[in-house]
Amino acid sequence: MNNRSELEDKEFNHLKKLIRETHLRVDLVEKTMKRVESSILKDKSVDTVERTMKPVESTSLKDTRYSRSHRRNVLRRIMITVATAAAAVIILVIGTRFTSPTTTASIQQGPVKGTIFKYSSDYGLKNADEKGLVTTLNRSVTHEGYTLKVPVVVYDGIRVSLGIERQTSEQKYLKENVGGNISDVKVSINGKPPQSLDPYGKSSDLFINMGIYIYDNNTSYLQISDMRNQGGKAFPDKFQMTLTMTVSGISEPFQFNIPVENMTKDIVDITPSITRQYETISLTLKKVEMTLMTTNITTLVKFPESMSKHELQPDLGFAIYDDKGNELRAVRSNVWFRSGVGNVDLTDFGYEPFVTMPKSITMKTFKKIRSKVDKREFMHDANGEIIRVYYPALEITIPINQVKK
Amino acid sequence: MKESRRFDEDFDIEIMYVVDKVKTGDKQAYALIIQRFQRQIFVYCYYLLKSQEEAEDAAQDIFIKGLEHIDRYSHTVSLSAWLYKIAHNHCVDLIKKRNKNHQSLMAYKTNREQEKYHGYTDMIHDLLEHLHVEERQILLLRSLEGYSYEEIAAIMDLKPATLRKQYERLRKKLIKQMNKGGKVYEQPFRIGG
Repeated sequence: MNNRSELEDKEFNHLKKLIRETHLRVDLVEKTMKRVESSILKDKSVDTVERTMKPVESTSLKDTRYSRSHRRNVLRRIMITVATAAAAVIILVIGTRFTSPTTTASIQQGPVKGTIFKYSSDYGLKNADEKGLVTTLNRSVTHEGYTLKVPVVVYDGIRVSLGIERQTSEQKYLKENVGGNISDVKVSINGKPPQSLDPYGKSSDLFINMGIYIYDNNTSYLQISDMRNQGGKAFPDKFQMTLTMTVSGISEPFQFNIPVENMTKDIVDITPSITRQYETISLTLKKVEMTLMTTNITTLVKFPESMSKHELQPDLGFAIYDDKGNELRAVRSNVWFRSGVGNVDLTDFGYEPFVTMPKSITMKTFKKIRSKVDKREFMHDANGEIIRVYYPALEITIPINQVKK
Repeated sequence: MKESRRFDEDFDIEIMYVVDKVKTGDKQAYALIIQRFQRQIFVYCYYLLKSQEEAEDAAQDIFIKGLEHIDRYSHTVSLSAWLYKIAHNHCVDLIKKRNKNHQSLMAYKTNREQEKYHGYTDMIHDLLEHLHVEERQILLLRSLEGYSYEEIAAIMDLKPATLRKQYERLRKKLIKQMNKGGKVYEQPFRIGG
């Protein structure tokens, strides 16, 4: 009887799974938006293209983008990557936050300004787009009926962000999003491998983090950053990047030569070197960099030698706030580089830029708690947010006006 | 299931910002909402209306209604649940209209036969034939979104306790049908099951 019940459960659950995974292609965006636009036209005699392509008003973001809950998405979606000795870190973020490729393609044609980054929920990319810092490339490579495109690139001296789009009608590829298709990504800087930027020159490891699977998603973006804040060499201000991506099932790699240029001339660079101590943990805020696209924080954490093994160390996170208590959202993977000593971590974190320059920045340090069931997971509260145990003694506030260049 | 619900909640947080943008007049941002929810809403309509064409029209109507009433949406419920509520009402209206007219019903059946169905959805349609519209909706909301009884109750304006009973009833009905199905259902339910 019990077996029968289990079998029934299994069958019933399988039916639910079949419903959930029903594979029907649908693209309602263009059709529905056309209907919306035509109804707007009926109401008001305004040119639809101009109206709909009107850049996102930054004012609408000011009120909304700082919600506390904003942070948890990236913290969860982007897994922690430990880069033991990597010169460059690549994060492939699945483009869950773009509109459909049909929409993105349409905005690149004609005189209407704007790139796919305009539709990103990453305020930094959106801001870079609005400020005209994004370079349109429209590079495209096709192998075996599968087209990969790199439509845009932007570099702010902290992170290189590249839009990635695919075009294919092959069902075997459409079962996954573009990130799922790409099995390998390699870059070279001015023809040299990433080891040339590595502090020890001994590794070419690159780490790629995949986001969650989204059905029928053809758009994503790649994010690449150097490790100059962790002992590596910096990317030049202007360089040629060779990007080689491999798509599973296609032997020929997709290679792109991309001119990259630092479009941010005025980086606010602060090196407070303020240290706080809590019991045996010492924390130094080494550097804060601010561009129109990114707020970057470099910290040095020293644990006692008895905690040299990483498993013994608490999983620390840093939350950045403006003077009004609004928290910045993380945009760059939580990468850390072990500076050769087990009990010393030199970390580099990227966040969205501030909408307006705050009078001060506060960094709060917290510990995340690992699940007892699955050590790879962090524990979440009832609202689904990662549980943070703050260390008030490690809190650091820097007044910006006094140190701004 | 819990994990996927958590991801959904993540999305709702993303979507919250888009909703606010739409509310402030950026209609184009609504494309992101359609992009995010179109598949589920379409599949929901498809299994209720039994026609891809009708489902596509219905899903478009649902999204347009959503946009028209976006000012009424508050973040107290997830946007997906709010859209499903619109979808629920819209599909119930369509089915009611259809039932009033037998010819129309026949047209739907013909429609369905003319469409290029594969065994996968055919099999699900055949099973759903044994459920009332309300039961189908409950099953779809449980399957597509993993909603709790309370959430589905809110979408469908039912009491959670009633809904729980209905769910148990439909579950038994379907299991009975699956067992009857013999060869038809054996293969798909055994593969990877």
